[in-house]
Parts: sequence; C-alpha cells; structure tokens
Amino acid sequence: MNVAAKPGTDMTTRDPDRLLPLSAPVFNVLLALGGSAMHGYAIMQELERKTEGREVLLPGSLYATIARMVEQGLLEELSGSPEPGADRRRRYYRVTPFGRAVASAEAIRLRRLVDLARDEDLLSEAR
Amino acid sequence: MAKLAVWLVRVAVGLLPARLRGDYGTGILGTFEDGYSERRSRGGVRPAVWFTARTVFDLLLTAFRERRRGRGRGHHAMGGGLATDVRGAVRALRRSPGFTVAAVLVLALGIGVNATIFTAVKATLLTPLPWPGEDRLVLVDLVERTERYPEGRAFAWSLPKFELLRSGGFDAVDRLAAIGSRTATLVSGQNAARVRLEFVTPDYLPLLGARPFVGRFTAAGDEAGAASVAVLGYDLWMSRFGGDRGVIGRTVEIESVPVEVIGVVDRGFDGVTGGVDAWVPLTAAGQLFDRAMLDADVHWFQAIGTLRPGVPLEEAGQRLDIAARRIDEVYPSLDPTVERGGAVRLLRDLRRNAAARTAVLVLSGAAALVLLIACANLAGLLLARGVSRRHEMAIRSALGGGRWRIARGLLAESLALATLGGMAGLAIAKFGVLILRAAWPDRFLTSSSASIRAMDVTSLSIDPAVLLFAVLITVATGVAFGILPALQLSADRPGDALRGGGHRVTTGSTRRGPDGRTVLIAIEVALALVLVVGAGLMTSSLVGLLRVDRGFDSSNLLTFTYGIPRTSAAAADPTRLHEQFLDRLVADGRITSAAAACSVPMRGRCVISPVVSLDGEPPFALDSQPRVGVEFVTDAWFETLRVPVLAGRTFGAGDVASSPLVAVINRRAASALFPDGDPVGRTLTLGYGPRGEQGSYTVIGVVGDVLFDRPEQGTMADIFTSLHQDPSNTVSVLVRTNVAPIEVLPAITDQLRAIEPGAALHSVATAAQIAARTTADTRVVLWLLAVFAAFAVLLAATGVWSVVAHTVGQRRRELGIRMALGAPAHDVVSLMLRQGAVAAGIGLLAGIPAAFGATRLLSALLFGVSPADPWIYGLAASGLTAITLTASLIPALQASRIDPVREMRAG
Repeated sequence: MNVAAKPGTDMTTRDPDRLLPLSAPVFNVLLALGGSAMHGYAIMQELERKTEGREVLLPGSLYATIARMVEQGLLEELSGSPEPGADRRRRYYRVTPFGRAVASAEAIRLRRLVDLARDEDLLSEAR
Repeated sequence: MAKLAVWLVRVAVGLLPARLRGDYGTGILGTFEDGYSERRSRGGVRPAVWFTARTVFDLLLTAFRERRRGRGRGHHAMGGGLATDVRGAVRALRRSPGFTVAAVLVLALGIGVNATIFTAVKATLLTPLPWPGEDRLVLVDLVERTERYPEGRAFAWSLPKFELLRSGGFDAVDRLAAIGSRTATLVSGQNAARVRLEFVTPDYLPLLGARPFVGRFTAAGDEAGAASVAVLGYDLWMSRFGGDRGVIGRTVEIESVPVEVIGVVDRGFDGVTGGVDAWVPLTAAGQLFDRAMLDADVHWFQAIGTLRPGVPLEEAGQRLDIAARRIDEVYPSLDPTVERGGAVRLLRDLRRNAAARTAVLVLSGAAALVLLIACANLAGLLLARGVSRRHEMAIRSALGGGRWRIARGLLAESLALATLGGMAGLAIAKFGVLILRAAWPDRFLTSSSASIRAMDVTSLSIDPAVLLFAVLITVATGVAFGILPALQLSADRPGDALRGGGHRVTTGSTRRGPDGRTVLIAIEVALALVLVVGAGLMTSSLVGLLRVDRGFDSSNLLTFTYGIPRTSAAAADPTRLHEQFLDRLVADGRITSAAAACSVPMRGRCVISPVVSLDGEPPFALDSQPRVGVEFVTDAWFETLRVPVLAGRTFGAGDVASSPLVAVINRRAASALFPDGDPVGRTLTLGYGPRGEQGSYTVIGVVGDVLFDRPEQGTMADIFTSLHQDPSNTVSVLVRTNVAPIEVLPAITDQLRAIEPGAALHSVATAAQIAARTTADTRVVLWLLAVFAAFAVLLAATGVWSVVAHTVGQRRRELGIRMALGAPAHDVVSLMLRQGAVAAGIGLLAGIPAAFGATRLLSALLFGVSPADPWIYGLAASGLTAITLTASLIPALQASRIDPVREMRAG
C-alpha cells in the first residue's frame, strides 16, 4: 500500500470528513476504545460488552483494522504498558485526537441519517 | 488441545501478508490465546473450539482481503460479493449443524490422510539433498565389467588407487573426497559408546558445506600425523560430553587408540551415509582397524565430488574410464576377464530407494482414492440436502437471484465446508505424521543402490509445502463435491419446485436409468473395492512373509554384539574369553543356553565367499565359482537356535585351533555342492573364510537351512566354521532364556563388565524384534492401506444407507398407499433394498477391473500372492456386498413399519 498517497497520513491536510463513511469495524474499534488505552483482547471484550454481543471482531479482522487505523493516524500505540506489571507482550492502543475527530464526524453523519429516518417514522415502526 | 488450537491459528496467521504478519502476528496470537483461555475456563471445550474455528476462518478471510488490497486492485470488484457469499455460506452451515459436523469429519479424514501421505511423498521423492550444490554432487565409482555384468558393477576404492586418481589429472570432478563408514567403540573416561564413524579426506566436510561449531576440521597435515584426530558430531558432543567446549584438545579412545578431539561440527550435519557421530581422517583406518586398509587391494570406501561446471555427466564418466584404465595399469587385476572402468553418478539420482518410492506411490494413490470417495459421499449428501432445499432455492431464484449467483452461493458453501475440513484435516495430519515417523521402516531411510542416506525421518513433517498441498486439495475438494449439486439446483426452474411444494420431489428416480446419487454410490463402492483388494493383497503378503520358514526358534531369544579391545590382555586369546563369558551366562538359571557367532540370523550374513574347489579337484573357473555364506559359530550355536542336525555332527570339544579345519554345511549347500552323495567327510576350499584367508575345510555334518536375510530373499548355501578355528575379537551372542529375554540383560551387562571392562555391548535386540523389522515395510503399507480401506468401506456404507433412507423418507406416502392396497411388507422392503443393491452392484462390477488395474502398481510390494488372486477379489467383493446390503437393509426395514393410515392423513 502506498502510504504517502493516503489521506490522513499527510499531517497538514488531515480532514476528518475525507475518511467518511467509516467501515463498521473501524467505527466499532473507535467506540470500544473511547478515551482509554487497551490491548487487543480488551478491545474485543469491550466491543462485545458495549454492543451486548451484536458486534464481534475476531483477532484477524481486529488487527487488520488496527493496522489500517494506525496507518491512517486514527490510533497510536503506547510505548509502554499503562498498567504496571502487565504482560509485556501485550501492545496497547489509544485513539489519537485526529481519531476522535473522525469518530465524532462519523457520529454526526450517522445522527443526520437517523434524524431522517425518524422523520420518515421508521423508528416508531421498528419499535 | 490448546496447543493444537494455537498451532492451527499460527498456521492461519502464516497466510497473512508479510507486513501484517510481521507487525501484528504476535498480537493476533496473544489475543487469540486470551480469548481461548477465557472461553475454556468459563464455558468449557465447546465454546473454545468454536472460537478457534471462527478465528481461523476470520484469519483466512482477512488474509484474502488484505492480499487483494495489497495488490492494489479495487476491492469492491468481487470482494463484496465474495464476502456476502461466504457470510451466507457460514449462516447456512450453522443452520444445520448435524450436516456440517458430518461433512467436516468426512472431509477432515480425506484431507488429513492425503496431507499425511504427502509428507512422505515430499520426504522421499521431492526434498533435495541437504547439501549445497546438491545438483552437482556426484558419486565417483570404479566399476568392473564382466560378461555377467556388462553394465559394470561398482566397487569401492582403495587408498593407493584413490590417490592415483587425485594425482592423475582426472579433472571432470572437483574436490574429490573419500568416505568410508564403520562403527567403533569410543571411550571417554569411564564411558564406552558404540559410534558410527566416517573416515574422510580433508575435503569432505567443506565440500558438504559443514561448518565447525567449535574448534577446527581436519587439514592435510592431520592425515600424515602419527597421532589421530577426530571431529565430533553435534549430537554426540551434546549427549556424551554435555556440550563442553573444553573437549577440544582432549584425548578419547576409539577402538582403544588414543585420538585427539580437534573440533565439533555444527548442528544438523550427520554425513552422507547418515547418522554419523564422528569423523576421522581416512588414513587413521590403518591405526584404528587394520593396517591392511591402506593396501591397494583392500577396497573399502566411496568417493564423492562436485561435477565441474560445463562438464556433462557422460563425459565425466568417459574421462573416469580413462583414469580407471591408467589405475589398472599400475595395479593390474588378477582376473583378466574383468574390464575395469569408472562411473560418475549424481548423488540425487542415487539416493532413491526403490522400495520406499513404490510404497509411497501406492499409498498416495490409496489416499487419493479415500479423498475421491469422501467427495462422492459429500456430493451425495449435498444432493440429498439440495432436494430438501429446492424450495429455498426456488424462492431465491424467484426473488431475482441469478442462476450464477445461486450456484456461487452453493459453491461458497462447499468451499466453506472444505476449508473447515481442511483445517481439521491438518490437525489429523499432525498426528498422522507422528504415527508415520514411528512406523517408517529403517529400510526406507537408506538408498537402495549406494550406501548413502536416502532421507531423514524428521523430514516427515508439516512444512509450507505440505500446507500449500493441503490448501490446494481443499479447494479442489470443495469445487469437486460442490459443483454437481450447484449445477443441478441452479438449473431448476423455480415454478416447478414451488408448485411441487418441495414435497413430492423424487430426484429423477421417476426417470428411467440411474440417477446422480446412484452413480455416486456406485463410484464409492467401486473405489472402496480397490482399496479393500489392495489391503487384502498386502495382508496375504504379510502372512506369506511370516510363514517363511526361518529354520530356527525365535522365541525367548536375545541377541547382542560386543568386541574385546585390541589393547586388552584377553585379545591374545579372544575365544577363551568368549567361552568364559558364555559359561558364566549359562550359570544364570534363567539362561538355558548361549552361543556366539559372526552375525545374527535375519540381520544379514557375515561373509559371502566363493568356493574355490571341492575335494582337492581342479578349481572352478573364476566366473562359475559357487557363492556361499560363511559364518563362524561356537559349539552350542545349533543347539541354542534349535537348528536340526540332518547328518553327521556339529562342532565338539575335539575341534580346536590345532586340529584339522572342519565345517558344518546347511542343506542347500549339501545339495548344491555335493549333489551326488553324502557330503560328510568331503572337503571344500573357501576363497576367504571368516578371517579373510583361503582355507580347506572337511565337512563334518549337515544342518537345516537358517534364514540369515529378509524372508523374501530366502535362504542360500551356508558354511559354518568353528570360532575356535577362526577366532575373532567381536562376536554376536545369542541367548536362549526361560523368562522374558529383556529381563536378563542387566545380568548380562554385569557379567561382561566383570570379565572385560573395555568391551561395549551394543545392537541388543530380541529375535522377535529382528524378525519384526524384516517385515516393517510390508506392515506399514498394509496398516495404512487397511485404515484407508476401512474409511472407504465406512463411507461407502453410509452412502448407501443415506440413499435408501432418503428414498424411504421421500416415498413414505407412496409406500403407505401401496401397503394400504395390500402390498406385503417384504415387497416394500425389497423395493427399497433394490435401490441400494443396484448401486452397489454397479460399483462392484466397475470396481473389479479398476482394482485389477490399480493393484498392478502394488505387485512390487507383494510376496507369495498374485495381484490378480481370485480368492482375495472374491472375499473383498462378497464382504462389500454384505456390508452394503446391511447398510440398505436398516432403512428399508423402516419402510415396512410405515403406518399407512398416518401417511394418508398426512398427505
């Protein structure tokens, strides 16, 4: 993959909107992480917990997603472990400020869509 | 279990693109392990296994997606469609877990068996030799061409001849190196061990790319030196010297001669002849074994080298011919009818083992048949399932799903099944390889045409090549069993199926002629017959081999070998020490008799010698000398082995070193050498007796034939001489016990140590173990074929069963009406039975000629049975008939229990 040609990796012209719409796995990881730093398995667990098991990311897809997000500057890897005495093999990730901006842009985009759906009375039907 | 799961995930991680794998591989594994152990501790085995399967599947998908992305193609082009297909497939499989589990098991067996056998194919036929420039490594031989062997028979080099070759301008081969192998006793401190040595020239180790791990290798100066030097193998260094670097410069004893250790070779190198523990200079053979080994007429080692670039093999051979003739001028042959020449052959061609090659080809053929049967079986299952899913397909089609789209969805299902089956198959192969390694016969490890190692048993392993093979057969399998049902279902017209309501459909059994499933069953039965006949032929061969008369009683017989060091005081009269030792053994109440000899039955002969003349008559012509086996034995040998004495007597107290030379001959020698009358009292002159010298012996008795070789090689004319008259430091002892033979081993070791501390006891085995080894290659092929045949029969039987059961299920209503109209139950049963019988019958008819063709491949492995043996064909066919009939009888009987009233109401 040609990294330089990707939007987002260019530090001067990072426009959150250019990455939208986010793919489901990317948005899921952003949501699972929220404001904290987690290792891979914790992200998996947190996502399952927050969505009550509706969204699942298995290790392969999870790390393929993490790899892309790190490349796009949405995530960064911590140099050490935030918990003292934790397993040293574990690598911890957290959302970058840019990542947070992208997540928020995606949430706004989705909210506009949901508003439209509400106007069409779709939500009351679903209930 | 957890290990296996991690291994599977690691394999799947290996398929990811290098960048992702490198940066995140450990992260993925760690995350998987966390998830696995949590599920295991919280929910038990099932969620853990399910998590493993999902993770592996997800990794495969990720690998596919990331590789597409990496190639920079638009990943929407097909990826989206594919992901949808796969998701749909997984959903469909989860809906019918029973079917999924059955199908995955069948596939796992088929793929596992093939992956296992492929490791053997790879190790015996495809793996290159482990040395650099292996495509140019050659064996350089002297050959003798006689009238009987116009092609020439290779024979070994002697030192002066080899030096003449090296100095004589033979330049077609670079870096000529010599290798002669021997076993010897190595003593370091109190520790005596039997080791395999290679006597080599200084070029040898560098030529094969070996590097010193510690110290150095031999140099040209070491050859001439008075004190000997040795380079140790890594394994010997670790096991006997604990990996101590201080061993360099230390002196050990090899065959009681002090030898300085100068280096340790790097791990993994164990010589061209295989399993070598230490290397010593070629010239040291004179000190370690026998001065005569440096003589021009003692030929005992081989020569290898690198073919010079640009020189074709034939030309190298021609140039060696010229060099060999020059050598012959300096050291003329005693026999003028022999023409001397040379042969240059590639090591990679020589390392082939004909028996292993045949066995491996037969087994891979058999494994392929198992996979074919598995495919036919699954195609049958899918067809049956397809019939019940016609309704679903029709709806999909009516809703606008294109035919290709539906076919692709079905194909995705079979590929998903095949992938799961492939992963489970790899797990099976992982165990299969362990079994294969344990059962792999020693005979398959060495080349059949030269004394070089053909393969290493540890090369029977799952490596990237095996994985690739597994992936390929998985995909091929998925397509093979999926294509037929996919075509059939996607070709349906939706209207028919919808109107039919999916209820009265009878898959073409209303049509004339056999339907798809009948054909599939027939194929399964035919292929199963081929495997059963093959297993039957091998069984018959094994029975034949076991029935071969060995000529001695092998029960409760322990054998071992030891040698008296040449420096020991006892070496002056070794026979006295041997007799003392044997007397002490017999004093142990558990040992009923004990004897010593030059070799052990079924392990090969000591010496094969020409008979020069009989009764002092003029000698035989050189090319018509009878060849006989020669064996020295102690007096009690015949009694210990329970070999019958047919005429005259065996050796007694009167036959000593100073009395006239006497010999006992076996029945075959008696009839071959003295066809005209009683051999007792006649004389024969041997070209070389057990000690290598010519001698005339008076025959004192005739005994029964003893099997010294492998059973299929049979017996030959043998001459026995007395150990008293042919003394030897090294003997093989045979001990008859009245308890389990291995129980007396500690006592034997103690006795030997007490009487001669420097003697190392080795090659311990019971006669039963030795006998088992001689049939190991037949047994390994037999067992694998038998297992394959059992799978095949099982699959064919379930195939027949499911066809009949399915038909019964589909025609319940019709059968109910028939019974209501008064059809007797047995009519209904036989109607249903007929379907299974027709399929099996067609299969058997097709299977017999197929087996006839296929088992001809097997003929090289057979002993005492024809590949067309009618009994075995008859037994196999009737056995299969019985099994398939039983398999169809069970569901057919259910038909007779149909309640007509209920069926009519249900309709």
